[in-house]
Amino acid sequence: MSPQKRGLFTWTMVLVTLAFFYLPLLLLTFFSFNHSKSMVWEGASFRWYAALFLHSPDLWASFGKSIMIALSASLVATLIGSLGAIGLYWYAFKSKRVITVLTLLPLLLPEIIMGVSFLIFFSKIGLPLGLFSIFIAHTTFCIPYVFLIMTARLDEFDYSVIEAAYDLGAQEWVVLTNVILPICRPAIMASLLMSATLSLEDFVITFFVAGPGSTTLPLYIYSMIRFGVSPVINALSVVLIVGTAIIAVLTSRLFKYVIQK
Amino acid sequence: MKSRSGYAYIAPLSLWMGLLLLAPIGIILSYSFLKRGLYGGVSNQITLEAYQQLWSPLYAKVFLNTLLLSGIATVIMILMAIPTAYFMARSKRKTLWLFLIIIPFWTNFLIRIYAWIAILGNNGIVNQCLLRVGWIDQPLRLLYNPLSVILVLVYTYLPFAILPLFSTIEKFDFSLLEAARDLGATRFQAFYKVLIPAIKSGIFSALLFCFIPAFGQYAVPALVGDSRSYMMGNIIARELTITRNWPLSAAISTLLTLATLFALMVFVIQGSRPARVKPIE
Amino acid sequence: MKGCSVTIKGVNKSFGSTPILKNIDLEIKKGEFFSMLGPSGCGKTTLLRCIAGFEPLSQGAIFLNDRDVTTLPPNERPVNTVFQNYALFPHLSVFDNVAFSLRIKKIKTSLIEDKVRHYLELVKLSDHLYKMPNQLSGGQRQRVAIARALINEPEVLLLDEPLSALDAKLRHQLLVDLDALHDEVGITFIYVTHDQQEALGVSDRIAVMNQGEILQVGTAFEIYDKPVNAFVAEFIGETNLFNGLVESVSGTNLMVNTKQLGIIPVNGAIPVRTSSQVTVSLRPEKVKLFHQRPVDSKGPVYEGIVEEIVYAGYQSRIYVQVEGAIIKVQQPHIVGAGSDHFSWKEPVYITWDPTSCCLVEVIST
Repeated sequence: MSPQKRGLFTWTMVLVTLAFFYLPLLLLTFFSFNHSKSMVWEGASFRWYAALFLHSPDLWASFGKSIMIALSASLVATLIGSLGAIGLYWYAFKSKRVITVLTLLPLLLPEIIMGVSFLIFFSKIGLPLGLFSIFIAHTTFCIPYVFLIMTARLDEFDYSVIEAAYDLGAQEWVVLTNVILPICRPAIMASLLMSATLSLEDFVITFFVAGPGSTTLPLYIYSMIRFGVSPVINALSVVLIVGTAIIAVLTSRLFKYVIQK
Repeated sequence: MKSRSGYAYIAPLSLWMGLLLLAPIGIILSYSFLKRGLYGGVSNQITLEAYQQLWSPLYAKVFLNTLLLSGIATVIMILMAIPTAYFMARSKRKTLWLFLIIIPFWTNFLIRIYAWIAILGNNGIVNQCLLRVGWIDQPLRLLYNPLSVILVLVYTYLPFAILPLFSTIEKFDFSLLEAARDLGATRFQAFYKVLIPAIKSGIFSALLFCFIPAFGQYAVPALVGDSRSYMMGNIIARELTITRNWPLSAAISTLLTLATLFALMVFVIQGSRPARVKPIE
Repeated sequence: MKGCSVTIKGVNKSFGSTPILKNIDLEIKKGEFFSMLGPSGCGKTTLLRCIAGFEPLSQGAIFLNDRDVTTLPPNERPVNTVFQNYALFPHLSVFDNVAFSLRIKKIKTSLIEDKVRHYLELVKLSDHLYKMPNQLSGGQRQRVAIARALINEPEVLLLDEPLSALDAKLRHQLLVDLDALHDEVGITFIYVTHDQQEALGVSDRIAVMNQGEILQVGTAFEIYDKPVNAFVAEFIGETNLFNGLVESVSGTNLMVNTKQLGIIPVNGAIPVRTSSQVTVSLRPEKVKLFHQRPVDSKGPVYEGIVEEIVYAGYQSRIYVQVEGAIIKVQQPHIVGAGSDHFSWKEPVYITWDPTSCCLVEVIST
C-alpha cells in the first residue's frame, strides 16, 4: 500500500468533481470577455460589462429590490428564529416538539409546494402580490435555517454560564443582552448571512408570489435565460461569482455554522 | 426555568409559523377537495374530482418520470460525493477544499443552470465550435432532453451531497479502516464493510438534501427539459397559472408533499436505525 | 534467522526528511512475549505498524517465519493487531466484530459461530455477545479487540499500547490476564508500551528504543541490572547517575573518581581503560540509610541531610543531600520498627555494597 496508490481513486474523483464545478464557470468567465455576441471567440472586449453596468437599468432595479427584500427578510427571520431557538432550547414547553417540527417544515417541503401554498393563501386573504408578499415568503423559509444555526451554537455552550450570571445577580434581560447574545454572536452573523444568501438566491418561491412591478434579480435572470445565451448574462454571472467568492472569503470563519445546517 | 418569559421568546416564532406556514398548507389541502371555479379559483363544493383527475396514465407517467429523473440524479450525486468528501476529510487542507465546494454552492442557482445553457444550448459553445469546425451543419440537440435535466440537477445539487458527507466522514475514525485491513479485508472490502456502514447517517442525510429538492424540481426541467422530462413541479405550475385548475394543482401538491414526507420518513428511519443486532444469518 | 517468528533486517523509515526508524535489526523468537519499550516518539509504534503492513519501509526487509513480507499489504500478512484505541467497528455487535475476519474469509456460518464463542470465552466475554461496542466498558472493549485479533489465528499478535486508555487497577489485572492468554495460545506477542512496569512484568524479552534506534535487547533482569547506557538505566526504573574518570581497573572492579562523591568502587561489566570518561549508575533501592554512622559497611559511607521525603505506601523515596549531590534513596517501611523513620533536615548516613554501583556507559576513552 504505497501512499501514492492509496489516494489515487479519491484524488481523481476530487479533480473530476472540481473540474465539473469550475469548468462551466470558467467558460462563462472566458466568454464574458468575448467581443462577439455569439459563443465564438472574436477577440477580447469589455463591451458586455459596459452593457451590464451602464445600459441595464431594469437589471439594477431588480437587484435593488432583491437587496431590499434580502435585508428585511434576513433581519426579521434572524430576530424571530433566534428568539425562538433560545426559548425552545432553555425553557420547557408541552408544545416544544410541535413547534420545532413546524419550524423545520419549510426545510422538508419542496420549494414549489411553498410557492403554490403562498400564492393560494395570499389570494385567499386578498393580499396583493408584490414586494411585501415576497418578504413574507422569504422570511418564512429563512426562519428554519436561523433556527438550526442558533440551536447548533446553543448546543455548544455550557448552560452553567447562564446559571453563573443569575447567581451573580443578573436579571433575565441582562442575561439575554450581556451573556446569551454576545455568546451567540457568530451564530447570529451566520444566520443573517445564510438568510440573506437564501433570499437573494430564491427563484421558485418568488416566482409564484411576485406580482407586477416586483421583479427580483433571480426573476429577471430567469426571464433573460429563457431566451437562451446572452453575453450580458455571461458578464453578470462573472460579477455574481466573484461577489460570492469575496463574501465567502470574508465570512469563512462562519462556515462551520453554515455547513452544519 | 421560569416558563413565563419563555413564552415571550417563542411567541413570535409560533405566531409566524402558525399563520404564515400552517395556514397556507391547510388551505392548499382543503382546496384539493373543492370543485374548480368557473373562472379559475374554487367554488365551495366538496368533491374528490381533483383526485379522480389525477388517477390517469398521464399523471402516473409524470410521477414515475419525476421519480426516475430525481432518483438517477441523486444516485450519481452520492457516488460522486462519497469519494470527494472522503478525500476532503482526510486532507490536511480541509478549509481550502471546503471553500472550493462552497463557492459553487453559493453561486446563484439560475447562473449555475445558465452555465450549461451557454455550453450545451443550440447557440452554446459546443455547438458553435462544432459548426465552425464544420463537423455538423445543424446544431446538435444537446439540451432539452431528460439527460440534460439529470446533468444540471447533479450540477446544482452536488454540494448538498458533499457537505453532509464531509461532516460525517470527518468524524470517522480512520484507524477502523486499518483494523479491517489488518483482519484480512482488501481496501475495497474495508470501504464497504466498515466506512459505508459507519457513515450511513451522512449518506442518508445527503440523500435527503439531494432527493427532496430534485424531486420537487420546477426550474431545471423548465429551463433545460422538454415534454419528456416534465416533472410534477412543472405540472403543478401549469395547472396553477395556465390551465387555472386550482383544485388539481392543489391535489398534485398534496400528492407531492405526501411522497416527499414518505421519502423523508424512509431516509430518517433508515439513517438512524441502529445496525442489525442479529449476528447470524 | 531460521526459526525466528519475526526477523527485521536493516529497516529504515522516514516521513519526509525526518528519520523515524534508523537501521533496525531485530529477531523475535517463536512464542515469545516480546516488548518494545520507549518514550513516546521513539519509533516503537511505527515499527509495529511496519510489521503489520500499514507503513511502507524506506529501506530494509521484514520476514515472518522466514517468509519475506516486506511488500505484502496488511490483509495478506499472518499478523493481527490490537489497536491502541481498540478500533472496534461501532456498527457491529461484539459477535460481529469478532467474526469480521472469518466472514471476510467466507467461512461457513456454523463454524464461525463456534469459533467466535470459543474466543469470547477465552477472553471471558461470553455474556456480552450481542452488545454494541458503546455498551461495553473500556476493559471489555479491549478484550473484544484481543479476541477479534486472535480468532484469525495469526502467527504474531501485535499489541499497540493496549492498556494505555485504562485506569491503573484495571491495567494490572488485564496485564495478568494477557500473560495467561499468551501461555494459552502460545503464539508470538509483540507488545508496544511506554510503561516500563508493564514491560518488565510480562515480557520474555524487551527492546528498549529511543529516537528511532534499538538501544538494548534483553530479558527484564538484563536490562534492569545491566543497562548498556545511561538512557536505558534512567528509563528503566529509577537511578542515580554520576559521571567520572576511571582511576584504576582490576578485572571488573574499578575505582571511579566522580565529581559529586569523590572516588567510589564501581562494578564494570564493560571493558574499560584507566582515565576513561564514564557514567555509573546507583539504584535507589540499593542505597542503605542510617541514623548513625554504620561501622561494618564494605562500601563507601557518606554523611548527608534529608532534603525531601515522598511517602508512597509500602516505601518512601528519600532525597539526601550529600556533598555536592542529591542521592535518591528507596526506603521500605518495616512494620513496627522505629528505625525506618526519618524526618526532614535530619542528618543521616548512606552507604551501599561495592558491587551495587555499575558502570553503564563509556563516554570517551
